[in-house]
Amino acid sequence: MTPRPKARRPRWRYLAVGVEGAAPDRRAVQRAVWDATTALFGDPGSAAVDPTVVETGADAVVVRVRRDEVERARAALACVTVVGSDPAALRVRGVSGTIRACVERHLEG
Amino acid sequence: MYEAVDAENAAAADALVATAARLGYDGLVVRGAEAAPDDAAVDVVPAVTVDAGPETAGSLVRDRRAAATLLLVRGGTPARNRFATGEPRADVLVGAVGPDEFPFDDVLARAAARAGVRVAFDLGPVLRETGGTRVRAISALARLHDLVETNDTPHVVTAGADVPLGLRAPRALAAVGTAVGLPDGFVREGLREWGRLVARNRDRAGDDWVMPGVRRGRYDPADWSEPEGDP
Repeated sequence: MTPRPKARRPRWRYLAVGVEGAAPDRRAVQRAVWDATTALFGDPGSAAVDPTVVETGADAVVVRVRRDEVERARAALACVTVVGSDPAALRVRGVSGTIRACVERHLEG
Repeated sequence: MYEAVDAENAAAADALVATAARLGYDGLVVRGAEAAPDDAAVDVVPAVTVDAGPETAGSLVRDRRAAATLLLVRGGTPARNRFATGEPRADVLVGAVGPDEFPFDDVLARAAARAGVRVAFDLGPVLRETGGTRVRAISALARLHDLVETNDTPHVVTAGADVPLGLRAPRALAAVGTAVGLPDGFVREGLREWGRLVARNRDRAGDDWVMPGVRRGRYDPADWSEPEGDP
């Protein structure tokens, strides 16, 4: 399949999300974020937000969401209270347009 | 913007204050803790909660009014809510409605507006509960918002945290509010209202204040920048 022109590809935003109270394990955080998004917005809403953990750091992760759904993603992340089996809180530190900018600005700073 | 928390002891209060500062709050209303740090990065406001039936709550309000900057009254039953909304010495009615009962109506909303009592919207169950309890909490919030908006009742918003992990940034709370159907700006307005209440009560505790509209001393227009939100 030919790649779509750049202007027609889906647009993303990358959220730098601090993980407090638990280790930023990719699978555990992904599961917690999916559960929270589905619980708050249902399956169609969850598919529209499409939160995906794309990068992990020492105490934070990068979550990719659809560009127009940043506020809904923020609400879903606020509803996460458990990661794995530990009580935890996910705090959005910043939003960027690329993974690299997100890591450089919000995770390494 | 201010948030309100319950702290069991001074150490818990310190941890909550440090987290609130990190999340960008200007101040934190601390209920329950006896000591709070003085050198905090945020404005720490001592508050007391009156949690009693209407037969004893009156005397408790009288006794505790002077002890703290903010006085909160816990509702939850028709009698308690009726007492709190008719008590001008109370600042905030917390826990007016629960997930299982809704003892609040237009009459009480109007009474609260008249007495200047703020109705607290607790987003805690939306953040922490699951399933049916959460669904009922969301629908109670929507119903309460309807009453508050119809009757111009002032409101405050809180996440009802008692541990640092329970605190949420103002922006996150605003996003959650929008997600559960509260209008844009409603949550931020509710977070700001805490600050206005604190400023008003501190002004009233000052030596110059006599009653609304009356101050001691020579007339100076600069003194008349009354804090907003006066009933």
